[in-house]
Amino acid sequence: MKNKATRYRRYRKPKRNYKLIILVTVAVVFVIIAAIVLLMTLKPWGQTSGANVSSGITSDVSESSSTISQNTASQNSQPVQSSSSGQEQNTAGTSDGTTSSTQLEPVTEYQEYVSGKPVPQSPPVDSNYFKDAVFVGDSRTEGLMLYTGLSAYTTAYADKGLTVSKVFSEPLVKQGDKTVTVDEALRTAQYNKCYIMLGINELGWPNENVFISHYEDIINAVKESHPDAKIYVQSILPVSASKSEKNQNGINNERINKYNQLLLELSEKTGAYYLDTAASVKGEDGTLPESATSDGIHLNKQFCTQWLDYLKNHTVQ
Amino acid sequence: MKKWFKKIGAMLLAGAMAALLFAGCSSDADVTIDVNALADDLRSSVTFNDDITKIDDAGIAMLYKDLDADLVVNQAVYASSGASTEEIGVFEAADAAGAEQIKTAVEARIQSQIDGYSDYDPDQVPRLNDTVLQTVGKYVIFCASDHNDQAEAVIEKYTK
Repeated sequence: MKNKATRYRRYRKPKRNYKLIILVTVAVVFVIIAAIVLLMTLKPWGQTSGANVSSGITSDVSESSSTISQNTASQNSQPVQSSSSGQEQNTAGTSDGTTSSTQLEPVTEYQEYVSGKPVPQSPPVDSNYFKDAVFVGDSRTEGLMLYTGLSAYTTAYADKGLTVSKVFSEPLVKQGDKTVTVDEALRTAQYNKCYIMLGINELGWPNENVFISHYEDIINAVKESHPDAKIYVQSILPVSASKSEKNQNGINNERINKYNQLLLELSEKTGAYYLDTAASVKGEDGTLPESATSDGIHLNKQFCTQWLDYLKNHTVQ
Repeated sequence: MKKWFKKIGAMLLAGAMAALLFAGCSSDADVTIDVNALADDLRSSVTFNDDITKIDDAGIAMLYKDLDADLVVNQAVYASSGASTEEIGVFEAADAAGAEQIKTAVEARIQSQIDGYSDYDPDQVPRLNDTVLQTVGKYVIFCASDHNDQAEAVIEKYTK
């Protein structure tokens, strides 16, 4: 008779090799995952790629203050003589042929500059004329450099938020390993022309005489370091009507016009040349056209070009 | 039979792991990007508040003060005239090491913008704290906008 052990042995279910099952299961899972990953890349062999995506910036950036770049300019240039005749119509045009609301008729002769009045229209010059020039200004001058390509020809010490007082007090110009003030930077190179446009950031100052006083300090500093340079004081460009209406931080066209009148008087006092640059971008109502700007203050490419064209057509011999 | 199953299982496992290894080991160095095409696509496809405009190499040098021009094979930048911090920058280096150095220069540019706009116009700063900045092989791609999702979707088309 078969004993219980024998009967048990016959009907006992065979033991499962769990290790083998686990091994095969894991292998199958890996194969499935590998297949999914390969399918997602959808690339032939050897051409898979991926992006090292990172949003945000690292926190260990060493740059801790805004700085102004310095472009070099080393050549003098002669003004280009136009063969056509005409007269100024208090208008401005674009160098790339874009139609604007104003057009300049070229002139062939220099008119004598009369102190206390804006620089009259002159024979046009090209961008090489600015190779021995330096531009001092705020973010609008920065836009002029960026949008017209003038930065390839000239030197600009321009920074958003630059004011007549920061020219002397705030290190903004990177020169090698150092960062110096605009005043200090001006003293490190020789320029034959200096174009200044400041004021939009100072419209909110309670006392415009402080603005004019600092502006005069700048002119005097330039005269001291560059006794033979022509100093051009550019009128503050207008803002759009909508921006003017908001009147934030004192920014409105009435105040701009008042500041410009003071700048004209300052030019007469100091012997600087006053450029009515604002005329190059003003609309018929005396404001910056809404189409010229995205924020009411900063000019788009077309109007920066008009501004540059005005500078090219208003030089002093 | 059991041994046979064991061998098959082991081979499958080894093969699967090898396949995973090669699939995950992606080669960014094989990516080729048309720098100008990507920058132009970002400009046209991403929603910007400002009318940012393409600038030339001199303008790029003016803005990216820490960028070593010798590292750059090709570049395309759209920048604001000063109204905003919206910006696009696509740079090609000679190799991935160069791209890392370019990325550092771009980070410096971003930090400079943060420092400058913090007092000037603080509303322009938040997008700089969450901007799109990627390195893909020898390329550095930067896009400061209020629509990172749009930017990343465009970039993905050029990096896959």
